[in-house]
Amino acid sequence: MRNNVFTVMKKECSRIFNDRKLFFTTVILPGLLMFVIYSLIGTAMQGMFDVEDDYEYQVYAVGFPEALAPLFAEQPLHIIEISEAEIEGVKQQLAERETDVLMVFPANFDELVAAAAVPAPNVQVWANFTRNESREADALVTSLLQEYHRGLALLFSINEPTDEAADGGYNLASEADIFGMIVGMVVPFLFMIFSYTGCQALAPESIAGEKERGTLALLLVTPASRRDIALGKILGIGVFALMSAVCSILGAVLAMPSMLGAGLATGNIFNFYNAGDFVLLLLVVMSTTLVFVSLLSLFSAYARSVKEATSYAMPILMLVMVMGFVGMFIGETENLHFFLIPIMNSVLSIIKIFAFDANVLAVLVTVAVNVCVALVFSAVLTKMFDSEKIIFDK
Amino acid sequence: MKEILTIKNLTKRFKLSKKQQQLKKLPKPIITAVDDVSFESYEGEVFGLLGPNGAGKTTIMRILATLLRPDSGDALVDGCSIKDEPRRVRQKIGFLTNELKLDDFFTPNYLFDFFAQLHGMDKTAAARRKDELFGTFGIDSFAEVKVSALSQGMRQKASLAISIVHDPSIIIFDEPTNGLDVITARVVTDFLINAKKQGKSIILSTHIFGLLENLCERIGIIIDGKMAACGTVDSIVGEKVASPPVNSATYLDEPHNVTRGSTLHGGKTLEDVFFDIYRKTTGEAI
Repeated sequence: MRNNVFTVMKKECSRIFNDRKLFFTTVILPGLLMFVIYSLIGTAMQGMFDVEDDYEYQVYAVGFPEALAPLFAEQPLHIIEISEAEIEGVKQQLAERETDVLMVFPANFDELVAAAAVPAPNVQVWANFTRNESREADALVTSLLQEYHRGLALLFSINEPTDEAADGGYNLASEADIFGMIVGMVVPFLFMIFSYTGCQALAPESIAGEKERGTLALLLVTPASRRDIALGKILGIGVFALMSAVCSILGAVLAMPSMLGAGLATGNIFNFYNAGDFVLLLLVVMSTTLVFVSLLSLFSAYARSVKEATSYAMPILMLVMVMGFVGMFIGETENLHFFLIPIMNSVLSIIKIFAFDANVLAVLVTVAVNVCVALVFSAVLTKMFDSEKIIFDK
Repeated sequence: MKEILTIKNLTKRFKLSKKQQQLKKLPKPIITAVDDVSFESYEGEVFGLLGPNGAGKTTIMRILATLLRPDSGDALVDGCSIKDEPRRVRQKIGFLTNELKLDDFFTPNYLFDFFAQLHGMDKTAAARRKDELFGTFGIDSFAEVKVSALSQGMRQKASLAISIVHDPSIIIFDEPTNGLDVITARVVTDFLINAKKQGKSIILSTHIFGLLENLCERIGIIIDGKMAACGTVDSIVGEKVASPPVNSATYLDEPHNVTRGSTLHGGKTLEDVFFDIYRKTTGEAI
């Protein structure tokens, strides 16, 4: 029995390995595209929002107070003092994205502040957020004004840099934690889609295609049992669907530093997780792929042609996406009941593994449920191979 | 002689869709493709099934190959029930029909090894058998060419070799020359002649009267799913028909000419008898 399963599985694998185009388009290309597209998007987005390092912001100011001059002098700001009559002209320049910021201080600002006037004097900061330099200048001058404001009414300070915690050092999340959180949000859903589409590219061709071409019947008149043929096909397609999914995830994960723009070294990503995490991840990925392959195999066996099988695959993809979304919204949970629901359990398990919070019991429940579901589907596929209506319905 | 195939009261019905029911103008959405058919075939015998399209020949062949299950009745293939021991039946038979195709993505060499493995053959036995069959059918020259690149004739040769990879004692061929050009058809008929010489039991369904007359010991005529006549060619024809010697050239003649050739011997031909039976059974004028 094992021999026949292996023989059929080997044939499925040979088919894809021998067809270089199919192998490239179903296994390598999705991962490669994922890496290239995400890297390009990341680089383009950074380019879109970044301002050149040595840029000096053009800041027009009406009634710029002397008291603020030392604070502003430390920043790359070129202050151009103007009169009230010129305000409209500068606003026009801002609207046309020709300059960066306009600050309008009330007359006698320093005296009003010193007298704690009521209502408090209002400083207007005008900008155009569609221009990177303007948006950045607005953020900078606003933060300087807030700093000046805090200095005037200093009752307590927040997160002052110290020897122990330099600027931004109060956030105790490590680089790995931040990476894990973001990857945990993005990758499980991507995995669901890639794994499913990998199966979708192979299962209809392998089963509905064989039916359509009349090659399945030749297989069914051999002494190999229907169960061996069904299992062999599912495992054969599963190997490639798994490779396709792993390639796609690798592509997405490797592109993550470019996407995040966080200065992460690609090599570091693999140091964040230990071997145990990878083993658990692989178990979840493999069992989920088996669920997808066996599910799609059922529909492929039912379909009369590859075209019909592919059309059945689309509504199932929607279902997979919904389950993936629900899993992402639930996020990190310890409730084992959620891990009894196929597909959603995989999303939940992957989130926890990436968030360095892997629960071995939950992963084992996930794998057991997925394997059971795949076995039930393969038993149904075996029955379908026995059904003359299914095999000869063209 | 040992009974190698026993078919007992075989019945097979198919459910029709509404559209099919309307097309066939049937009162019920069920058609009886095979209706209480019984016959037997003996070891080393060539048994021919003859009948018009849709008579039920292919259904009987598929039931014998365990691709279909009968609604009632049973068939014993070398003592094994097709209902209870389908896998053992599949070990004993070689099944070929034009509807069974080889996978385009593989070479005949790969497919031969694949099916040999599924038949549980060890590598040495498979290699020996491959040498023998590839030599016989002249497959060596295109053994490493993908099926998609082969001509129809080459494919049929490869299909033949693969269908008998395990050297079955019973060969079931359903219209094996249907749709083939004369050159390819000759490969099939040559094979049948050689298989008969080797003492194989053959169940053959074909429209070629000449082939049946000259190759088959016994014949069953199926009309509307029922066995209308069954027996030796002589007993069916009712008088002795002089048969030309068994060689492929005879079968390769246009079938009509072959049967007309038989009338030169003075007797009724199988074709004449078949149409008589058909007219009597269906009431249709031809």
